[in-house]
Amino acid sequence: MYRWMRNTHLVLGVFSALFLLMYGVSSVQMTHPQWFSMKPRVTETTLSLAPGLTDARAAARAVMDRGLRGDLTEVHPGAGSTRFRIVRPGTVYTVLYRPDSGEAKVQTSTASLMGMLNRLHHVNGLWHGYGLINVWGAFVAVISIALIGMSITGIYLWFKRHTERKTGAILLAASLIYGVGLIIAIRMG
Amino acid sequence: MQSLIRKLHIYAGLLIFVNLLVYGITGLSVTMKPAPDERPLRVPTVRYQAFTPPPNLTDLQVAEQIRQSLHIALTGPVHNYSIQHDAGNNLVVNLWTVNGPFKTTVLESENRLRIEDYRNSLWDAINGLHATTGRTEVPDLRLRLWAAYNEFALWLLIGMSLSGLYLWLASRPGYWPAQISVAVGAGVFVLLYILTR
Repeated sequence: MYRWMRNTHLVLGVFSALFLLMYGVSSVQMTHPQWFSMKPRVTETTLSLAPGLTDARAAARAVMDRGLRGDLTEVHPGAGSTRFRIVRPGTVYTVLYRPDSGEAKVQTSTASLMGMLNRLHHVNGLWHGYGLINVWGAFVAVISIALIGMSITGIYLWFKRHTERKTGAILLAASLIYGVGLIIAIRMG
Repeated sequence: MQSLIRKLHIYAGLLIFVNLLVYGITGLSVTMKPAPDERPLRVPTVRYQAFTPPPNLTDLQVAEQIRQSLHIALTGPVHNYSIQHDAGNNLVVNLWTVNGPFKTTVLESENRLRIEDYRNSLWDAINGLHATTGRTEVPDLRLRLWAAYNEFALWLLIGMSLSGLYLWLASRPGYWPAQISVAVGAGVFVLLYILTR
C-alpha cells in the first residue's frame, strides 16, 4: 500500500509540476502586479474581406479563415461598422469591419510571458468555441484531481513516516483548525 | 540535503493542506460550470430597509453610506464601477462579498433601500476564497487572516512543485512511470502554450 501511494504521489506530482508552477507564478503576479511588466506587444494590420457582411459572426468567420484563431467575443454592431474581438489566451484580435468597403482593421495584442501565464490561470470550462481552450479546460480538471489526489496520498505518506509524525500532526491540526475554521466563519457571513 | 528538502516538502504540504484542497475543488467546480448563457438565473433574496440619503452627497458618497448602514461584514470600500443607475434613474450600488453580491437600489421617493442578496453557492464561495490574497481591500479580520494564509500557500505551492521535482530526481530518477509522466505533462503544457499563444 505504501509503495502504491508513494508511486501515485510521485506520478501525479511530476505530471502536474509545470501546471502547478504556472498557477503559482501567475498567482504571485496577480497578487503583486507591480513586480512584473504586463505590457503586450501591439501591432495593426488591414485585411480585405468581402463587403456587405452585416452579421458579425460572418465577418468573424471570414477573419478566422485568414488564420486568426480564438473565441469570438464582445460583438458591437454599429452604424457603418462592426467591432468584435477574437480571443485566445496569448493573443487578442480587435477587429473593426466596414461592410461598405470590406476593410477589416485588425489590432493584434500579444501577451508577454507573464500576461500569458495570467490568461492561462483564468482559462476554464469545456464550452468554448475555440477547441484548444476546451483542451486547456479539460486539463484544469485533470490537474485539480491530481492536486486533490496528491494531497490525500501526501497525508498517508506523511503518517507512515514515524519521524515526522509528531511535528506533522501539529502542523496539520493547525492548518485544519485555522483554514477550515476561517472558511466556516467567512461562510457564516 | 535530500532529507531536509523532503522534510520541508512534507511540512509545507501539511501546513497548506486546506488550501490545496481549496485549489483542487475550485478547478473542478469551474470546469463543471455550463457556458455563461446557459447558467440558471440566480434568484435573490429581497428585503427592504429604511434609508434616506443625506442631501448634497455624490453617488459614491451615498454608496459608501449604504455600505456602512447595511453592516455587511465582508465588503470593501465602494468604487465607481460598483455604481450605476437603473431605467428609473435610481442609484444602484453593487456590494461584492466572497459569499455573493448584494445589489442595492436607492428608492429615494420611498425613503428606502431595496436589497437583493445573491448568495453564492459553497463552490463559488470557495472559488472566491482561492482568489483572495493580500490585495483584498476588505477590512474584515476573517478575510484578512485567510488572505494572508492564502498568499503563504501560493508561495509554498511554488516551493513544493520545485522540491517535488528535486526529490524525484534525487531519489528515483530511473523510475520510468515518472519519466513518462513528466514528459507527457510537460509536453502537453508546452504544446498547448505554443498553440494558444
